[in-house]
Amino acid sequence: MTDSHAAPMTPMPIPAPEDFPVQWSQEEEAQLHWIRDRMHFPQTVSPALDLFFEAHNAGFVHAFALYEMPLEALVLRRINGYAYNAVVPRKLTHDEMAAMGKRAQQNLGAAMMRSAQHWNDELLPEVKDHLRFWQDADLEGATLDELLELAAETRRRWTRLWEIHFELMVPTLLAGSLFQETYADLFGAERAFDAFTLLQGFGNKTTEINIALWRLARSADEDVRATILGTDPAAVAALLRESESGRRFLASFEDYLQAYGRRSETWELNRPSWIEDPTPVWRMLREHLSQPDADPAAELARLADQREAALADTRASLTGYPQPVVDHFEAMLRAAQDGAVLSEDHGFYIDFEGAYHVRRVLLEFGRRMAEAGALASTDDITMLTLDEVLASVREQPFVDRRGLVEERRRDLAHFGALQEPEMVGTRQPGPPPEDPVGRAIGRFFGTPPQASADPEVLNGHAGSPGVVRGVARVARSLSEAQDVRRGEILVTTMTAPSWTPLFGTVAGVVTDTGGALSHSAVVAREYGIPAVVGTLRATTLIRDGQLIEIDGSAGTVRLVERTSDLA
Amino acid sequence: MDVPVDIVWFGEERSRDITLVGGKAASLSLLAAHHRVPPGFCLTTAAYDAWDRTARPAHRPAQPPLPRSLHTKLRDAYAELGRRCGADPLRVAVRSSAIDEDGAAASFAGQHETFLNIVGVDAVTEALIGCWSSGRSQRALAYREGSGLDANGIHLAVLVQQLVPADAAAVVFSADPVSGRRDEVVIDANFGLGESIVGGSVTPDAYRVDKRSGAVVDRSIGSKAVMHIPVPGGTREIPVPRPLRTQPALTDEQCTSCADLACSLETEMGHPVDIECAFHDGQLYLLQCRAITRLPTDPNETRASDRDGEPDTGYDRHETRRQPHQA
Repeated sequence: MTDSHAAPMTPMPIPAPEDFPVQWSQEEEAQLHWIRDRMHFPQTVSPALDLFFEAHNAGFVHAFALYEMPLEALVLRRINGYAYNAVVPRKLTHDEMAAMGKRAQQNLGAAMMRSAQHWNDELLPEVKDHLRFWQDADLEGATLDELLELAAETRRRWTRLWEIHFELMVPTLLAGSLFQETYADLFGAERAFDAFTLLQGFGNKTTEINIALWRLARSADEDVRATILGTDPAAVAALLRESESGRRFLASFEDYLQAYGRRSETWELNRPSWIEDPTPVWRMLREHLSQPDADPAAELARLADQREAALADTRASLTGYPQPVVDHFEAMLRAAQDGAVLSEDHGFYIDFEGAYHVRRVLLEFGRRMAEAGALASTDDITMLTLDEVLASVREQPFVDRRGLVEERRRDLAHFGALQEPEMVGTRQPGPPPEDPVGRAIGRFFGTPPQASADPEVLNGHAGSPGVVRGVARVARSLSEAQDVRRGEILVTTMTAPSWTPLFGTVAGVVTDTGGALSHSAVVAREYGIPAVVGTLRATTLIRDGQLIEIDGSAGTVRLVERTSDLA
Repeated sequence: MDVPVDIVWFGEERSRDITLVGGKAASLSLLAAHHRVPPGFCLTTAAYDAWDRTARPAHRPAQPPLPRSLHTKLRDAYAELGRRCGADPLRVAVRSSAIDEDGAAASFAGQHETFLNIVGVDAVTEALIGCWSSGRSQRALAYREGSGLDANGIHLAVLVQQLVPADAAAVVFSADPVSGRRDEVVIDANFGLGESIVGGSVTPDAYRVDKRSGAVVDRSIGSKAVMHIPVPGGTREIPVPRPLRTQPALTDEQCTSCADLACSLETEMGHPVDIECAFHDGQLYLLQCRAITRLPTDPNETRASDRDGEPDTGYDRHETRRQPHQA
């Protein structure tokens, strides 16, 4: 018997560009196929993020072992300041791999059916325990020994949070992907987006944040309104403090931050949280005040109505289908609906609040090192890995890291200015596994789009249906994206959950990375705006201000104004 | 019989007259006494003859319309079947049932038309004429000739039966038609109607059930890329959802039920049988039962014969030697 899929091909080392030398700490790392993770980390990352990578990688190892998946790990690491990820397969024979794949499908299938219950009854209470530990910790009052103890505990608990993260998200992601496949097989690929209508309109932590902010905006009286709309976001608070109604509003604003402000714009540890710097919140408030009719609660209710109507239609068209097929559809629907809520909710607690607390612990070390003269400023702490920090503060006096920080900054500036390679390491033999898990990963991270024959058309993947024409606003970070105006099309590398409020402003979204299950696509569908995702090159090919037309169902971007005609 | 009978019901004495209703209908009618067969009636060979005569001799159209009196009887019978099944309008299967058919000599498999999920008296009429016309198709005539049957003696009855909107369907052999083994029941199954299995449009699941214990001894999950479902006016082939393809179409319990049914039919008939059956709403329906044609010699028996020095007894002569598993 021959098996064409198993056609042996030797691993091929990928030549590193001359200006991008790669130092491997272990030979095994050089053997992996590292792919640039632009989706989560479009820009260079700080050395402190190694702490996140450590937790993330352990989290995947935990989930893959728990579900007996044929993968050992999905690892993230920093290479010359950029985040790369690689899949680490288990060392198994072809047959062992197939047998394990079957067990994994069974385990994941069972897990996805009870993920909401598992989260609510077991995982979320544990997550809240960990968060409470940090909330209760007295960072400033701790002795150095206590702080070192706290750092060890932080490492342990954060790793545990990421184990929980992937224990929840691996089956959840698969549920979304399997539901999409089931829907497409039953009703045809041309109706693929209708599948997502059935998942929309459920309240989650993200919609809760938006609705609370909209209510806060509604509570502003005429004076407060005028102040917020007419003042630079950075100066608003000081101005409001001058009036009675302003102070009342500030108190509500403070409550809002306490409830929802433990987050920043990315997974990075070097960005201030909303509590530290509420400028993004003032910007969003301004947006709400200028759009008093855009009630997110009413919008959510509208999406829910739309969902229920679509569901009634879908169920009617399943009449006469074999019962096992109907049962399968209903089970997948439930798992995917739960998954749609969980994929927002877990991020609120783990990705954002967890990172917020870790950042606070790091900043406390930064404060002490800066006081001792071992750092130039508190913020410089993110230019060090936690191990470097610990090694420094275990000495008396603290080891001076200012020189190292300077060197790191120079390196980051150097590598940040050049075009990093898409892949490094060793290209793996054989095609990627064609199984439900492999397909789910493709739908999340995206697969390369088909090349376009028409130079005025850029191909990506269908992310959210609809056609819209508008001015492109190219933004590689959330702060760059703040200037986007109503009716413009946001063109970006990727969007993180903190970008969500922007989707209420823009007319459409184009991303470089991601597939139909990526954050940008999910949120665009929730907001009912067209999205084309995974174009790879939109932010490099499309000029800021260029007129474009996007077709979110076909996954194409047309350059209405030719690039060559632009000045 | 003085007046030719156009329509007979399952359960009526005359519905077991093979010359009147054809092999398939006679067999099903007989089986309906002891098994769950979807209710139905037959348009007899006499009805066929009446229709066949309408346009004789010179300008015979390919598909002459139904004589008025026959149409009235068909309309009434269809309405009555709807009442018996408690459905209005009733979805039915309209199947050909030829004389000679389902005999041991030739299977006629697939030679005559079957129309599934037919709703309304007009559609039933159309399907009926379609069945009758198929008896005169080139393909059917060639088959008859090849099988040594009389090409002029076409007598085609048609069966109108409640359609079972199958959750899963199976073709069950009470002996292995490939190896000839008599101690295992072989089952092919898929989700939806049985067409995908019979028509060979998928690799179905394949199960083997031990006759004595009723246990599933082997299971191979087929790729089952598509299934057939009833849609208004017929059936449609649609993909089985990818995540469902790796799941078995039948539970072990359902496999055992299928095997039990095949074994008891084998006992009743006195020879190995292949049956078509379907599950709906937890009930197993018998749709068709035939003798297995060209069944190889039982390899177990061959070995026994060799020891005894007896010559190989050849095809189609084996009785079941063990009592099938009975619940």
